[in-house]
Amino acid sequence: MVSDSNLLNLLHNNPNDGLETMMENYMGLVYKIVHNQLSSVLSSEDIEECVSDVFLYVFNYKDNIDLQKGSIKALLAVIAKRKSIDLYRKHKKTIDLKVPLESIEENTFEEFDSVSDSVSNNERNKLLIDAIKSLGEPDSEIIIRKFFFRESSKDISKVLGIKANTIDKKSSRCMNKLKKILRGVL
Amino acid sequence: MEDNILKILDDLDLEEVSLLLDQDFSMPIDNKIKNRIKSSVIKKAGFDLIPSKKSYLSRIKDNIKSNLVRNRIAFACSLSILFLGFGTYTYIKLPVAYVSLDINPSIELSVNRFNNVVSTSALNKDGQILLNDINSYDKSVYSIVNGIIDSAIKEKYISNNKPTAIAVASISDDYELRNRLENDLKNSISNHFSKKSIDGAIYSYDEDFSKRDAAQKMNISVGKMNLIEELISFDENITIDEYKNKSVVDIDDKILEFKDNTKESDKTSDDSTKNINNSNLSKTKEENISVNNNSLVNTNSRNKPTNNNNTNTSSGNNSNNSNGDSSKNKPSDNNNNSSSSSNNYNNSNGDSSKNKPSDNNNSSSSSSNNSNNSNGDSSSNNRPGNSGNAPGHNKPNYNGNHHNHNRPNNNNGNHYGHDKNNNGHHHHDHDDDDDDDDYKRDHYYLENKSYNNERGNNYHEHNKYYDDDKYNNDDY
Repeated sequence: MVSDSNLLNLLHNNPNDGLETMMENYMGLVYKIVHNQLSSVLSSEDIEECVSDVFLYVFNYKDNIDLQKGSIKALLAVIAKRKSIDLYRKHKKTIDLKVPLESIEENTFEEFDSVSDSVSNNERNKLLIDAIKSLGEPDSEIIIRKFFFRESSKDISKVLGIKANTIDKKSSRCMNKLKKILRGVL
Repeated sequence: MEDNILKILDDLDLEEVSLLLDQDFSMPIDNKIKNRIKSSVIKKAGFDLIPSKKSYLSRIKDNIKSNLVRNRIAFACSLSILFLGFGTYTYIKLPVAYVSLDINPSIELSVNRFNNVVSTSALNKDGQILLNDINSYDKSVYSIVNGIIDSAIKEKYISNNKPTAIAVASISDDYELRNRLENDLKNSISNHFSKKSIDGAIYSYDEDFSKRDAAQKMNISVGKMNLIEELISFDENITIDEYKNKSVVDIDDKILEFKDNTKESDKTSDDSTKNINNSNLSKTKEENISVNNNSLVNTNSRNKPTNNNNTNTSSGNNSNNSNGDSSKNKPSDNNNNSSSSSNNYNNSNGDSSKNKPSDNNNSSSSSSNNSNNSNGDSSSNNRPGNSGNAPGHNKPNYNGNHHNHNRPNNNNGNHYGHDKNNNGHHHHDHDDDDDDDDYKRDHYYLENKSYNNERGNNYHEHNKYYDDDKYNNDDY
């Protein structure tokens, strides 16, 4: 796994290789996010196209990347999430309204790097993230995979080598913990 | 609760996600998908694809796969080429005809579709000598034949000083082909002869394969077989072995001899030897078909005390005048056995008036038209012969030929070509048959007082073609 600074350098100096390297390192991540979000509503071709759009977007954004603000991985993840959610919502809307997907304009992901409008949201989020991280391993990973990446217990068990049953149990226990932690905030 | 978290996590900003995801997560993805997306991204980004990062092994596999298909195609092609080639080879090489050559040496050539010689074989030692001499540069049958002739000249089988004859036979079941081949060979050889200033006779034949098989069984060539057959037609006692080693010239001479002899026998008077010819002639089945060649038999009329065994086995018209003018027949045995089926005019003793004790065995087992005149003129005296013909008696032949049906007679036994009803010519001078009226005789009667050997409708023919002083008969 390449370091962000190296990757950024590569992207600047040798965009071809930079792009290649970025994809080599983070294709799985981006694909997983997009796939898990959209598999129910879009075809695999569309999913793949979305993934490629993510990389292209980030690639085109490469000159604006500020590693202080966030890692390239996080950037890819955020873009992936935003795009896929957009597509999802569009799709949902088209199904309901029978309107072609492209005509719907709503795009939420452009605001990703703006400061969150609500401070409380910010605090809340931070609290949650800390809470999740405090769960310890492998629970925190389970929770992140489950709720951030939207992975199924089955997929998680495959990757982590833990029984799906166990994952479910752990997940529910963690949720209780988080509830407790976040009772006041949520 | 869970939906809440989901929602919250969905809306995290960059910084927050960085925090959340600061550890490494293993995210396996299918390679195919990965590469697909990669290449699409690179294309869209405007870059050239980085040369295939496929593993060396997978590239080898690809090659092999494509090679496998190519290999299969190549194999199929080579097989078909093999078969095609083999078929073509067979087609070209297979002999369609044979050519046999005889001078003295005897050679057989196998010829293919294109008139090229594909194999040669010598049928006797001399042939082998000739074959050894030819160089096989040009395989055309004509040039090979000419080459053989040249060798024959060189080895002195052919020369200007002595008579030359060559027999060539073309053998094939294809009638047109063998005809054409025969003609072309004849022309080619005669051209070559004139080129080499040789004056030679060319005998050419065309036959089919069955003839060749028969010739092979006797170890001779087809050409020679035909020549010997021609000989046999003249003299049936000839065997193949006698002549199989003789040269064409020799056989040819012999044939001419025979021919001359038969011609002569028409004219000369002392030709008892010709009798043999005649009887042989009549024996040879093939020669004696429906044609009435018994005209030759008439020569027997000259024969005096002889044994005439005239066994006619042909089926056509026989006029057997074994003893044309039987008047001259003294004690003689006339065995006129004709087993033919029609038109027998057997004048075993033409003018039986002169028939002395003789045995006339006129056994004709034919069924029609027997005019058996064992004793030509029945009115004439029949001495105590065995003819058993009393005047006015119609005695059956030994073969029990009773009533002979009248059939139109194509019988040219008579030189006069008469049919039976017309024997006015054949009357003898003296026709003093009183008994004539009793029988259904026409003017066939013999003038002499001899028994008329009539059986039913018997037609006598009395062929006296030859002037004979002794017997004062009509001569024609």
